[in-house]
Amino acid sequence: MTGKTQMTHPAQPVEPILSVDGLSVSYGSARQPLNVVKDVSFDVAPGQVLGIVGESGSGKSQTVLAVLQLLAEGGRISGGQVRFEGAELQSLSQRRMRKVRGQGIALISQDALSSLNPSMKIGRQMAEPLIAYDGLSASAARKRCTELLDLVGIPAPAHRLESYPHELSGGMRQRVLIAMAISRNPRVLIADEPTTALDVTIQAQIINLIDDLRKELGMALVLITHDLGVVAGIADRISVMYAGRIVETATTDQIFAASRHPYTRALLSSIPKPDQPRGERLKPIPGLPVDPREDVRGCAFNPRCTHALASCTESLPAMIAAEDDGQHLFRCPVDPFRLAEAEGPRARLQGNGGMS
Amino acid sequence: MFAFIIRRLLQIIPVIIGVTIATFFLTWLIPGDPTNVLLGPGASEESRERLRDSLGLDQSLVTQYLIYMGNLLTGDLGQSISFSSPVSEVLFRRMGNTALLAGAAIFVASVAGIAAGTWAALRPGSFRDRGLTIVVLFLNSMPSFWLGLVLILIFGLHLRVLPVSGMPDPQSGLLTLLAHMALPTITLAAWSLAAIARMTRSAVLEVINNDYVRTARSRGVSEARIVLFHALPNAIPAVLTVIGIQMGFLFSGAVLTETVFSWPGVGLAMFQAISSRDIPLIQGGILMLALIFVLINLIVDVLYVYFNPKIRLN
Amino acid sequence: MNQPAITQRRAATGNAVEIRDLHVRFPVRSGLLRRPVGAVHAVDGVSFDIPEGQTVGLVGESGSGKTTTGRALLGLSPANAGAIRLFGKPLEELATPEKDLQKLGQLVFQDPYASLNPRLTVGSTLSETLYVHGLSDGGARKQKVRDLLDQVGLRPEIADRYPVALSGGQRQRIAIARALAVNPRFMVLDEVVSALDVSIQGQILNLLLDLQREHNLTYLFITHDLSVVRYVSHKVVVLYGGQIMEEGPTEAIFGSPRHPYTHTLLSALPVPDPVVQRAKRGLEIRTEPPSVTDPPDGCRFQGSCPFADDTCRSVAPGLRPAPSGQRVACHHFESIDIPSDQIGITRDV
Repeated sequence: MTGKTQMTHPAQPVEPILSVDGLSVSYGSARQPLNVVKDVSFDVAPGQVLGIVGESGSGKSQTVLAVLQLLAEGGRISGGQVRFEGAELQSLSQRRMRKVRGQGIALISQDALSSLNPSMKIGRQMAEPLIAYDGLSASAARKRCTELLDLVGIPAPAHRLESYPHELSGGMRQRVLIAMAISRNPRVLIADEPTTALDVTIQAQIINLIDDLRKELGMALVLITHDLGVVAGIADRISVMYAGRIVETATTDQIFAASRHPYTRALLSSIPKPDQPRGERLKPIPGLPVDPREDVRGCAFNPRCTHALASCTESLPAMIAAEDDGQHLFRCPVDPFRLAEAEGPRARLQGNGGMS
Repeated sequence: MFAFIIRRLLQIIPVIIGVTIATFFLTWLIPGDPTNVLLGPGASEESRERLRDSLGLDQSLVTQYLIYMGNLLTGDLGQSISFSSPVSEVLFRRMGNTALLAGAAIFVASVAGIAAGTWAALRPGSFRDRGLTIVVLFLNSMPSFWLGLVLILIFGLHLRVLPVSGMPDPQSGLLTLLAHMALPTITLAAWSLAAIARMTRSAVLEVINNDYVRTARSRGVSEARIVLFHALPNAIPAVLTVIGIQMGFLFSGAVLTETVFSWPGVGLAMFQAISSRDIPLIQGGILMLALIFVLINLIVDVLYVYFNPKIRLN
Repeated sequence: MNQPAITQRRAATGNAVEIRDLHVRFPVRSGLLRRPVGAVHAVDGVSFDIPEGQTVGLVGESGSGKTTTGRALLGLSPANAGAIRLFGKPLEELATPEKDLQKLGQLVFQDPYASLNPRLTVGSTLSETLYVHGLSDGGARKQKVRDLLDQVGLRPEIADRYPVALSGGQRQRIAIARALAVNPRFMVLDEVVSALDVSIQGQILNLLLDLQREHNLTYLFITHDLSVVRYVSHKVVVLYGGQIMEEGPTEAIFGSPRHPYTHTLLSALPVPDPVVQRAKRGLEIRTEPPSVTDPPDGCRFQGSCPFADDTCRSVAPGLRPAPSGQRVACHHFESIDIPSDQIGITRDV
């Protein structure tokens, strides 16, 4: 089973605006490929927020770069399909992809300092595609950029157009990236770790900004992050990735209260929480994250999993649906009661917002 | 920015002083009586006395150096033995010719080098990239005089399309001038072209993999615009430094090329000076070339800062 | 795993670190002659103690001065004013020769990829530290390297590997081993887990706690991550714009924060709980980074504080005690009423 889902009430199926089906991304030669994304599937409905959560090496960034065909030199889509508004993207030429980028699907990268051209003024960078491709005159583009900077909360926007990236603070640079991303009215916004390296108070502002803009402009949002707290507040659905695969996809509430995959549960348990009483030992996940160069047989999380069954080493667990919700998908054969039990008396079984 | 330029100009002063000290000491490092060195063995005792007086040869080194500096500042570089005229006159007359050749060479080397380096960088590891590497290696390994002679052989002797020596009269017209300049320019440009192409390739490669290029791509900007407006402007500062250094080399490296093609520039004069032990001319030539080198580096530094807003606005 | 004795403390032998009114300023130069035209007040009058064998969590965002403070404790940032005492002795006395100070206090950095020489094997890196600090016998060094690796939970074979082959977590363990090599009594840990994956941060934190217990180590734990701070610290110091906003026992700070900035930090902190996070969506967080070159008169936080009034803008508040055990630098903390649902810890508080 793939990540295909029905978005809302089963009686009114909505066609997903972005649909990824069995996507695989590889680097290196065909004989010795480095598979960084393996058979990833998910859907995003119009106006919906999908959170993709994973740690380093999970392949989350590579997945979205592949959607826009922005992979680094040596990378390629080695399988699967990407559909945007019904049309296939993965086989489009670069020339056709350019029409989609920015106008259909926009990307907000992490690390705003390196994502902005250091020797070009902000205004010029922002206006470039507007003037070159959208037919705006220089003054019309200027006006639009000023409006956009104002929309993302940058004070003295007209003045800021003349600044260089290094003259702005980290938070402001991120806002500029956001303004650039929405400048051509995309229908889908992909935010790749937009708040890493920002102060926590600025992080909160940026996430709220992205969510507000999304609602105002009616965009769908794919938010990629390693921080479960960040995604908890705004995502409708969350996909958890590990070692290049999606291991679980469910609604936000299900992920936090009733997760069915050991990695998701272990991840939730391992995070120090502000309400954790002192003296209670943290439960980090033992062992090391898997090396993407290794192609493991069976489940990649197996060496670190406390519930591993014999079958887990032999073959990759298939993606199955929960009994009570066909949209809750996960790759693990372990019985849910075993999962909860093993966590000991601390596990709160009621959906109290904490871990289950 | 302005403050930066002033500061850099002030920094040049110690360098210039260092160079003048070095050239000054040349007379004393060469064995024999300084009057022999400066006037040649055939000079009369009278002129030697006069020289001893005017240069203070019997006084302390410091005094002599100060006299030397004083002369420099008024433009008196001594008398050239082989040309029988003031050194300054000889050099300035010929400077223009060398500048013409060097200028043309750097232009050709820069344009061709940047174009080739960029072209290769856009497809790293491909056939054209590897082809460029081979060509660059070749150009780097060839001594300029050998290349010059080979070009003379091919274009002058066998194909008979281009003149092989000398610089034409100004009255002969632009076309003749260009024709005479063609081979020496290519010879002079070869090594620099290799260095510039190599630097451009690595600078563009580095820049094209940067995140901000990906940002531009993600907004639908075309590859052509990316290369022209995002990649090259950020790669240029590094290339500029190489071009500047090459210009310095070209002025001094012109010696061999000018000799092979009998181009009447400073380089040829230096060659003749060395052969005839015309020390004053050698001294003057070294000084002039060093000054040019220093000035070119200053210009390169200023341009580098100009292209790099981070440094400029600090 | 048994409940560890994190809350047990050895009998306090006094303060390992005492800081009084620390000021660190970095000159800003401009003009033709690079004249100093002003200064960045990185640390502007900071005082606190670190009891021996305990951990003080130093919390702040960019421009707070936390890293500079940590470095000043080890003599790595120049202190323009103020007094630092380590184990009862003034820092200046301990700092000559440098090696003596290094034997006393060590620094571990954030970036596991930059702090290890990529050209040296792990064993060589550790061995070098031992050699520099007096262990000249090769055989003894080898044994000590094995011991150190064992202490930080790494297999002895790691000694022959190069940093490039190791994960971020492994490299941080090695950085910690290197710090331990000189048997320090005090360690400054500067964002040591911030660059690591969340699921292994706990491994390093647990290791640090174990080492603290075994060796009676004193830690200054610098971080921007409030959840991590709560886990490891006995006391917390909250910095903003180079000054302390609030400081006190961890439970007091987290259980009943008093300073508006602390409230803001806690509210902004993302919590892995959808209901809590959604409830926070309506909160408007208007905090801006502090101005470091032109600090205002009065309270440092005035520019971002919703409760700032004229007193706040003219008079700098000193640290005053609050009933729950901490000290707060705010004129109005007794009268400010911030609803508990905006504290942002959990709904159960």
